[in-house]
Amino acid sequence: MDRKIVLAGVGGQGIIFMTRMVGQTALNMGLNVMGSETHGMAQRGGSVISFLKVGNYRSAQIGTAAADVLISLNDMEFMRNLPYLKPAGLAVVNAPTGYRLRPELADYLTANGIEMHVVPADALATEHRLRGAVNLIVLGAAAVLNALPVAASDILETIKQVTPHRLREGNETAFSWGARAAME
Amino acid sequence: MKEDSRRLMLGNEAIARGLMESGCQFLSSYPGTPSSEILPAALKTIQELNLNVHIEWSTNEKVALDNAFAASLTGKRAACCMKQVGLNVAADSLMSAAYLGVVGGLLVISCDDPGPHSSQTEQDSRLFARFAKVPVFDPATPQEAKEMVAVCFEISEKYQVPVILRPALRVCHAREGVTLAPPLILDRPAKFKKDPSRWAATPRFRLLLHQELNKKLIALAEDFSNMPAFNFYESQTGQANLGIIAAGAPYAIVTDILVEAGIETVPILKLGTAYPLPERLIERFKDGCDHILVLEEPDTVIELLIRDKSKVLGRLTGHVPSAGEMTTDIIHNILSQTMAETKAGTLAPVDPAGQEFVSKLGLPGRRPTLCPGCPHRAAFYSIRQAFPRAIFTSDIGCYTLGLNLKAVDTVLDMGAGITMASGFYHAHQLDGTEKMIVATMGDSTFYHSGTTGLLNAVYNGSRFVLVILDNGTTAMTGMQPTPGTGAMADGSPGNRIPLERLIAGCGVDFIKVHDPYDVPTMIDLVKEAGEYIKTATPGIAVIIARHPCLIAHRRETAPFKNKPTVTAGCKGCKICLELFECPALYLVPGQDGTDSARVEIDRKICVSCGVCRFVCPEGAIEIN
Ligand code: SF4
Ligand code: SF4
Repeated sequence: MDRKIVLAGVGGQGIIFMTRMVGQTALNMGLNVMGSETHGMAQRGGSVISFLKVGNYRSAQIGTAAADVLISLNDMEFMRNLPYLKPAGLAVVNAPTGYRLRPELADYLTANGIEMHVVPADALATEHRLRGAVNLIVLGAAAVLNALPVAASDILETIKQVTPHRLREGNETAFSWGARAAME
Repeated sequence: MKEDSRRLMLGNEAIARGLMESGCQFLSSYPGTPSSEILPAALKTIQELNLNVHIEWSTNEKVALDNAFAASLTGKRAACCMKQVGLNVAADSLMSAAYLGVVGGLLVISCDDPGPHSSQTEQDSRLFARFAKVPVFDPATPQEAKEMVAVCFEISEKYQVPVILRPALRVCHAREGVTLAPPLILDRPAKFKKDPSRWAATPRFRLLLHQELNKKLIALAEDFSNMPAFNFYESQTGQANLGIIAAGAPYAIVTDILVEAGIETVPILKLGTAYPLPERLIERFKDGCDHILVLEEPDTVIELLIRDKSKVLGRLTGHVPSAGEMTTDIIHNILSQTMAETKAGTLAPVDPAGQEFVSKLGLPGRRPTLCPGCPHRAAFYSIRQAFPRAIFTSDIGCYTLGLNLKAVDTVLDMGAGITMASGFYHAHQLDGTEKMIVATMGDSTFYHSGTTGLLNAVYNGSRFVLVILDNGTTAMTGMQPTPGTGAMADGSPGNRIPLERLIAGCGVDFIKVHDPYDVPTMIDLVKEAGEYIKTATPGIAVIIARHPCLIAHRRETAPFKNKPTVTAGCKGCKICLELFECPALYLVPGQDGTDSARVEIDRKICVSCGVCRFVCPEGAIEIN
């Protein structure tokens, strides 16, 4: 199943960790994986973009209107990276419940047949005392929204494998809360 | 975790793995984006597999290369890695080592940064290879980078030349499922065979060595024409209107574009070795095509070296942009246009509608800034308060972002914070004008290339204030240790060399250490230093602004207990935003047009360092 995914956010949010979890899972399934990451010059707070391509690709890069999926950990980076998303693509965005799109943006999404899912990951993280696991909440949501080329249960398995003991439970819970939020 | 044969690896991790799978026993490096992850990844493999390898963070790139060169003369395989501008620093060694040749394989890994994303220039290490007359390999993917490492060592030993591996950013920071092999353990006890006529060759012998090197290069070009693992094309029937010669990341990108567009009429010659140019292979490929498009980055190397350019399209003909990264979109549009021009088929150009739509949204740019609570911010603020009109020479590191605080006027290269300060001093002194000059430089940069400039400034009687921003780490490149902390590459304690002793050794008498978080006394100290340099001999004052980097030394520094609040006294003058610009401070617009805007604190990112309290002229930021 070929898939091109753009993951966006700011430094410190754990974009690369998300990418690694999906990439490693795909690799475990015997799929070919290519990825690439771009950081700004700042240690904290700069834009981070990560590309993940699963399938028969040579290059790790993704061009304009080529991504199947855009996952963003904040709405500003979602808007900024929208051009990567191809028509009829899928967007999963961390934003507050009841988030209102600017009208011109809503029109753009409709015109391009883009489906957008909002995950209130910040609120969920606070509510369940999972600060620092916003990325995994969003990942859990993306997994059940069919945004990823691998099954949610397999990603969860990878997360268990690679996270150190003291973080494991938190990470698993965060992933499940995200999945639950997306199914509601 | 089970030992899997395929692992998801960064290009830099794959390179490190390749070193260990090739029996490399000596690895030196100076950190620099995009090369910095290679040495730490090698360390992990060394520890994981319990290998006997010397690794070190050297004080600079020349030091790294000289060390690795000597290791090679003992018969061991050795490598050094650096970013492309680091190769400038190591140029002296490289040029000479090319003539002298090597014994054990010697690999120089120089990582290029097309864009540039975090470098002063977009220079092409492959051109440097041509300049030094050493072979260069140019990988397109992490997997290929790892495979090339092994071949680089073989070639280096076969021809007794240093070899450059040049991965560009998009390979260094790409991630791929990479196939692993066991490490290679070579039984090669260190044995230096004396041969002064070669290892200490005089100019007369250098001529002979140069002639020898030229012969090696001719044979190498022939070898490269027969290296199907890295240099290949799929033979095709009939003449093609357009063929492509592609190297590095652009090869991977253009291949994907053609495959996805279902275009089968444009053959690609993939070239993994730009120099010496595999001319025979290229000529054979060219024969089958009416036009040849060359896609390489960041500069023109293959295109330049092809002798008969009658069919060739590229930078020299204006088909490829001469600056900037070769992104997927750019390559797509080059291809689209060139295919149309050469009647090689059709490929629709990239649709700019999405980009145009988003640019019209007017999203705020995210300019890079120092972290909340960064000690550099406090130091820059104090410097500027003490001497608002001084010339501020600075240097390369996180603290280049002192630009935002208007306390950085110049950034040339590593070490120029000091050398440009003395240059400015003497230029003004010619006219009898006294100009205050405050230089800033980070601790790691000072160890890298500060001392020579400082010695020179003291010796030649310059006058300026130098503030060393000592945060106890090499922060921008990922928190590598420095000789000041004394920790070595593997974390074990080395011999610490305190900045104070080093600076005193350069002949400076005024050396004061201060925590920049204490802004009022920091301002006074900078003023005192400014007075001192007017009359003292030598006229250089050094302040070591010492406070650990909050990210590298999180445990020792946090948590702070100076939680700030903004009182009703805030007038919205924005002084704290413009001259201090802590990202935790932001402006809230006034309500219904009556009250003025005021500043608030973003608790999510504020670290409660409390430094902002010194900045507000209204005293509206209080600590509680
Ligand atoms: S906090 Fe102080 S410096 Fe900042 S805008 Fe308000 S009054 Fe000005
Ligand atoms: S205390 Fe002030 S200067 Fe320090 S991080 Fe918070 S807002 Fe920034």
